[in-house]
Amino acid sequence: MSIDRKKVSLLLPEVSPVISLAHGGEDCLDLLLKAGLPIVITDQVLYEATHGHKDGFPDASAVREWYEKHKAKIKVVKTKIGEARAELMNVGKYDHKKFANQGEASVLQAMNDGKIKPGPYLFLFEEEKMANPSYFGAYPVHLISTYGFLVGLERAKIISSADDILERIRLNGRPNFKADISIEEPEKLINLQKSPTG
Amino acid sequence: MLRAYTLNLDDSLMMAAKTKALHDKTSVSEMVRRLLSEHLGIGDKTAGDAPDERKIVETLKKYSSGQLKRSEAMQEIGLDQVELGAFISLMNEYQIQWPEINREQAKEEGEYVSRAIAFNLGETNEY
Repeated sequence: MSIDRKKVSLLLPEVSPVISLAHGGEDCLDLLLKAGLPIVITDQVLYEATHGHKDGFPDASAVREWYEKHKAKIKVVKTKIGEARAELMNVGKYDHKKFANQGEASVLQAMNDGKIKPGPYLFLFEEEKMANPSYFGAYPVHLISTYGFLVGLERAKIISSADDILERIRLNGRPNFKADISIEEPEKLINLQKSPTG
Repeated sequence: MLRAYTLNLDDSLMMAAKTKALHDKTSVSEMVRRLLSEHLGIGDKTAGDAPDERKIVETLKKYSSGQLKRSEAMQEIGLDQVELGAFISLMNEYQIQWPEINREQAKEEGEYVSRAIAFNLGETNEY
């Protein structure tokens, strides 16, 4: 469809794609930037992707280093969930289990709160696609898997082979890397779907 | 049934265990289970609890074939969503094949991505 010339952004609602790319190496993480799509991530998703560096997890450390290097190019949206987590951490009452899977919830919250503005987006998922807004404001939203993202880069001639990257990630300790194969339509957690006229 | 427990361990010991687990492509939980099973002489995993083990394998196979989402499979096994490492260990331990990539779906998604890249570059007005 034809829409206003607002750039399509890449929104990261969960950590799995970033962790998978981290297993492929820094140049694989760089692919997120090479697509030329502005990157949007919430504070909670960023936390979930990087907090493991304190426990010595190399993938979390790689994501953290990559983020520090490129943070000027990545928009981090503050959310109520992220702020609540930070406050609990400050007083030593943070329970990781209670915040499991809150990354995606923080994205939906930020969309509802207007902290993430309507626009054309690609939502990058890997394991499960829990929310499918279809439209955000007047703009279409497409859900893509990590592998689908790589296929798109291959089509755009940014990489020579999506399968080569896939193999690299799997061989580097991410054997479960895959595209989503859910047989059912993703559940709509919230109703963000609007007509193209807004 | 697998359940989550809290253990009090030294930081250095846990760090060493995590490093070893990463190297062996397993999890600390799996290592603890194996060591305790050996130490107590009650066999690996849920010895004497065969129906649960059968259910675990059945659930993992359903996940493998795409009949269950990962979260659903983890819930059926009794794992918390943060225990992804334990779930991965179980898949590897029982040698269950990981779900295959749906390449047709990936092609469709790839089309969205390449179109978005072209759109942002001003090469097309369609997204």
